[in-house]
Amino acid sequence: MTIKKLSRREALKRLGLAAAGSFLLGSLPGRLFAQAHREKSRVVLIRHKDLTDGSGQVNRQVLASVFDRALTTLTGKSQVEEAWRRIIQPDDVVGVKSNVWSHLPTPPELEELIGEGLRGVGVKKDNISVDDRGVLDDPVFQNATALINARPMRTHDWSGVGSLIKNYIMFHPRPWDYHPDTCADLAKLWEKPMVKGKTRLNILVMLTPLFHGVGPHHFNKKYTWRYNGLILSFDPVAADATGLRIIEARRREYFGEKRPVSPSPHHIRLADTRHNLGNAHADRIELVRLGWQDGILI
Amino acid sequence: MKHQALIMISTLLFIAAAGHAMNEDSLLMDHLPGSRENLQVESEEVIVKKEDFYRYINGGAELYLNYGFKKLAKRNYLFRGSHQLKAEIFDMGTPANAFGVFSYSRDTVNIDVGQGAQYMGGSLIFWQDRYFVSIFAHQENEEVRRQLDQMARYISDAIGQRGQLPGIFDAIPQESLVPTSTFYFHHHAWQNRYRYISNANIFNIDENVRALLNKYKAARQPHYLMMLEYPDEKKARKAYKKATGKLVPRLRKEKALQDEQGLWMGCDRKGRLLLFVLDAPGREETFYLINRAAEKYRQIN
Repeated sequence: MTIKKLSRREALKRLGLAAAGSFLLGSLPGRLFAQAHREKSRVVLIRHKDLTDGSGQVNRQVLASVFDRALTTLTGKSQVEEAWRRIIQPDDVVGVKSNVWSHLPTPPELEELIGEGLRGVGVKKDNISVDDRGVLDDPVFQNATALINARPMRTHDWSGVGSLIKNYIMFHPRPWDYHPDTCADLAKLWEKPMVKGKTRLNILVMLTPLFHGVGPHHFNKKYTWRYNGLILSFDPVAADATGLRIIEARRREYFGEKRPVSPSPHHIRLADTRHNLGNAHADRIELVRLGWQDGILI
Repeated sequence: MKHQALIMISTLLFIAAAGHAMNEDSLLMDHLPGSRENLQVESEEVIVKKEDFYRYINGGAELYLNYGFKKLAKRNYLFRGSHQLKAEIFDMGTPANAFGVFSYSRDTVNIDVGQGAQYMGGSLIFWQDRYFVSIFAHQENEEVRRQLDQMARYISDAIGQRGQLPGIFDAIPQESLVPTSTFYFHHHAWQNRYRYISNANIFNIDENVRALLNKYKAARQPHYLMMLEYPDEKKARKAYKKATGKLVPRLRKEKALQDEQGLWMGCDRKGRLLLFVLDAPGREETFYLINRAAEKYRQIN
């Protein structure tokens, strides 16, 4: 039998790794992505070693400080009030889409800080609502002129990761309609009238992310770690892609080998290449790293 | 008179059906421990409907549905007045599907309960017969751990019988196999579990295909054998043609190829069994896995 060598490039191409690899590893040519016309997306990653304590409890004071710094950096404003005014107007009706997953919810301290920021701009208390599963029936969300999207990143049994893109699944009455091909087209949710064009800020919570799941509820504290970070961006795809790179890096570190997130979280890449929602490729992301650098993984 | 008789028959049929359903529900629930000293049942529920299951598992339900989920019984407990525990028993329809969910969830097998069990950080999971069982403690200590272990043994005894896995499991080559690495599935989303292969369904994997992914370690090189059993030879042939076409068409002729990093990929079909090797350290290891699996499979069929 004649044995011919298979070039690495051919193997990657044949295995369909080219597109996924360029996204997951950030090392392959950007031209592989169909859309290269958008401007770079700014993503602010901020960390502080005291953001959570040993038991995972949030230090509210530290959280307030890093959140303000991230917001001013993202908006390019020197004062936090100016930063809020850059994204929210006093007459806005604002829905804060959080996540109530019992094992790893959006921290209430963060929800409070967002509420304070909104009220500081002059948004009326009655025009602000924080909700997750009840958004379709929530009058503030029904009449919202602006949305703020905030959730922790975690691995997920079906979509690969629970992401900012996925966080809008509750804007659809039957979330499972978006499950085909392991949630490939979640970005379509962002075209829904309740959502389209309204998102002013995306906050991916990376305080104690879940990088691996076991059991029916896909949670074990053993697979979380104190990363103590927040990721802020106007581009949900860029924020998610950055968070995913951190999760992948942590898995490599923990398992001592490349262990891909499974199923593939391709809804993030497809949000870029198929749905034009934002930038998933590292080459199209301007990543600003602030604060604690130890173990940053990216 | 005729009308009244019809109503009576319908009513009797309804009562019989409801009674049967209730009986089946309570049978599953009866596998879980009831209240006893230091352990109080706080709430319980049986879930059958897909919509209810989606709401209960919150996003992860699709995994179980793809493994043929039939029914779930769960109880929430209070242990020693302060520790919240949860026990769930999933009827997955067949032992293979129960093993499949377990093989998805486990990282190791480290306790001896049922037909395979893992304890990790307040979570005990095991499979037995057609059931997958999970017992979870929100906070862990030694006493809680012992309690979870006792509950698992109670449930295992209540299930009683053991399940038989399909013959393809007996065809797995054992030499250099990483213990507890065998993963059973029948949805293409899981083919990338150990190593990225493709996002596309290049092997035509569906609910009628039995797919096994095994990890091997030889010469410090992790490598993988995927075994796919199709319902008939025609479907296996079609899948082989599609997969090799998407991978490297030369595989059809040469059966094994080496990449620039020196790792080997192999693919072959024997009857309705398709075998795919990835990242093997050498040609010999590649053909050993393919030929050994084919030989063992032939012996059991």
